[in-house]
Amino acid sequence: MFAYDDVPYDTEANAETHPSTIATLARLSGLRPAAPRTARVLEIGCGNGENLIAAATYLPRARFVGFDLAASAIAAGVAAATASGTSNVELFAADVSDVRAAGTKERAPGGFDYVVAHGMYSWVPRDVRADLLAVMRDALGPGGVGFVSVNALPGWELRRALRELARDATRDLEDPAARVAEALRIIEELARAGEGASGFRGALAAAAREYVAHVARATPPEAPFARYVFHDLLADVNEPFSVAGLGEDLARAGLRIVCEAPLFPSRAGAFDGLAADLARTGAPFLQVLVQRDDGELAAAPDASAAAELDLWADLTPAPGGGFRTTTGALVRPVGETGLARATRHAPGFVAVRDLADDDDARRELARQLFAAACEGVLTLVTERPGCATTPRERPCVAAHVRVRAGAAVERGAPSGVVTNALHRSFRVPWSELAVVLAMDGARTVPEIAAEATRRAAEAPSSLAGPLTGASTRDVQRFVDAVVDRFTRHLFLVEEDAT
Amino acid sequence: MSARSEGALDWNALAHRALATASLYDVLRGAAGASRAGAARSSRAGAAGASPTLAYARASELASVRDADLVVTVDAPALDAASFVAAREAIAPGGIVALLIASTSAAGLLAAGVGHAAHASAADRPDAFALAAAWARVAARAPLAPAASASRIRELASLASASGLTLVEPDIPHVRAQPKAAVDRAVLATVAFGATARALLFVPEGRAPKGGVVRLREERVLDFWIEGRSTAAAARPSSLPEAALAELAACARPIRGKDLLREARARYADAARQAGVQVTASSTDGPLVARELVTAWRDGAVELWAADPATPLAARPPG
Repeated sequence: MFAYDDVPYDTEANAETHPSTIATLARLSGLRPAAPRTARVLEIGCGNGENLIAAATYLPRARFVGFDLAASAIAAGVAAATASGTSNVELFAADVSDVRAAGTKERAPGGFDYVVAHGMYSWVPRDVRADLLAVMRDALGPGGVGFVSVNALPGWELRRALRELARDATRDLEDPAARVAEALRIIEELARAGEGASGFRGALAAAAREYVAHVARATPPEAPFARYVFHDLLADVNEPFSVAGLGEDLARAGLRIVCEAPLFPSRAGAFDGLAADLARTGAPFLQVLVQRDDGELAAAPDASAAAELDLWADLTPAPGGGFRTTTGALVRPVGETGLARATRHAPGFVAVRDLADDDDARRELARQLFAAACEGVLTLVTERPGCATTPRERPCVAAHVRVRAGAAVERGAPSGVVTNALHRSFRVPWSELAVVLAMDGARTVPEIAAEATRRAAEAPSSLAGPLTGASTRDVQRFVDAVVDRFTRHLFLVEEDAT
Repeated sequence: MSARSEGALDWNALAHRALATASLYDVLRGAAGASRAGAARSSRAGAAGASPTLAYARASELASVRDADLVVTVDAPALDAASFVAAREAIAPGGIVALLIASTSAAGLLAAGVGHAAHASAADRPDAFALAAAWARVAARAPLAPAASASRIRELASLASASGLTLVEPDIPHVRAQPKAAVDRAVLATVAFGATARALLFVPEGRAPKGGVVRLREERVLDFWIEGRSTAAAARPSSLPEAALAELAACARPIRGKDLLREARARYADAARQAGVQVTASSTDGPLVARELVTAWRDGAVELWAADPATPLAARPPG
């Protein structure tokens, strides 16, 4: 039984793999990637396809294809895409070696513009890795950009120790949940026993704490157990790579690294190369963009290229001054810096070139905004996503988002994850999901409030929260805030795609 | 001590590790006697004498060894069932086999040169990798044995057992529940402590203690030579063990355990006096310092030698 059929993997949208994110990095690296709006995207090892469907729902003119060995995951993805009428996604169950043999030209005669293999390479055997890269090479059209992620050396060495001990401790256990529970117990014990210690013990204890926190973030509250651990630390195959090692594998397959993803703060200053950077930071995970070795040679990401891009400043004015990012960080722009100018448009899109009057000012501005983007304070994009950014009389959240919200609401989950047009995911409580579910483009805001209230009346009060027991005015205020927030955070489509 | 050259093993350093471990575990018997620590002699030089007779041998060389009190070997090339049979036949009655291994992660970090790259200090950014880099800067000066994963350690113990050799292990410090089986302890102690050259000791099964569990004779450390690997030390030590580590940090070369104890007492008394406190020597000082030194040794912060480190233990057999 394939492990991913036996124990489903909780696949969610990953912003780093979205064609818009990849396109931005590729542009900053001097390439001319295909426009995301009409792109052809392939995902190798797509799981339940959520990563593709969430993107496809906002890019109706792009085409998304994904395959995975886990037939049950593919079936779930097909059902989800059908339910939301997302017709520009094709999912199929297949072994990567079969796809290699068959080729990808039938599905995209001119090649795919973006090919993603996220969370695959380190977790498959050597022969499958060769097939994976061969498929990627075959699938990428001229100018196409690939995405690969791996566990990275030397930083992953500490996780190797956790993995050895976890697998050793669970070697006689069969049940996946029991294995995960015992693995986490061992890791938590390592964290405790090494607390405050020096030497390797102290380092391993810190790594254990970091891993436990990482697992908590990766595990949905409704998951029966931390399936992430089963498919990561306890997986039969889990190989890390040095930059040099990955580069060699890519070269053998006719590919090469463009740049790492995402941009990290270190990129805003002097950069001494990816390998040196990993040796210094010890990041245990590496994501890179790749290209065919016969493509136009990429340059190192260049801040001045930001001058040609648009930016999305998803910043909310904070009560005491400054702005909050979507991650909750507080920024206080000063004077006439690039960030200060950008925040005057927040939340909203603005062309970087429109923020400065001359070329010199534009270059300096681009440098500042590049640094802010590396810090995650704002987002640079090559094209604005096809979503509404201003309030609508009858607001319409993307169909797939409503399907996901509806599924969580129906099963009585306290919260659910929804993904916006920039492929950023947010976990929102049931009460907000009930509002989102009613934002179907047919209802005015008061009608949305009425529908959400009706649904809440049939649900436990612990879930319904602000939708029950409050005055009509309070409910309306709550609904207004949700509608406003979902508008501002790029969840609305121009019209209902279904 | 001997510099480690790329790809070459420092057999002398590995043998010293084995001898120190065997002395602390109190498992050497026969011609050497259980409590003697001193210069070992090569098996090629003859067996008579009060010092343990020592032999280094890789897998293919074990068959040529005879009557050694301590056979030192590594898992490169990989040991197999025949290797352990040969090892069993190589040791004298009372002798032991020492297999030196590193943890896979420790070996990987050192091979990648972690600790050489510029890092923020652990105090500024105490994340896991920063702590690992600080460890690597110290561990890079230690001998390094070929790596063995947790599953390989179990394989080796099983192969040894099949040939009549039993793995012996002491308690593991800091854990809430001691693993019952010796091999479980070996796995945990090797992987969780980031071993760079840890001695797995095997004794003939008839001599093995129950469950392969030995008691550490920590007090023997005071007869050893000791060298600190870390230069970090408390400026004003607030305890005798801390003073011992501070003394080691200040020493440029190995120091005898009894001398270290004396110097540590003086350092601690001085620090205490400056703080307006009077301390006096106690019979518990030795055991206290010994325990601290063994803990530091297990963490890789100090090196222990049961024999004079200035004298090579034995010539390596040809082949």
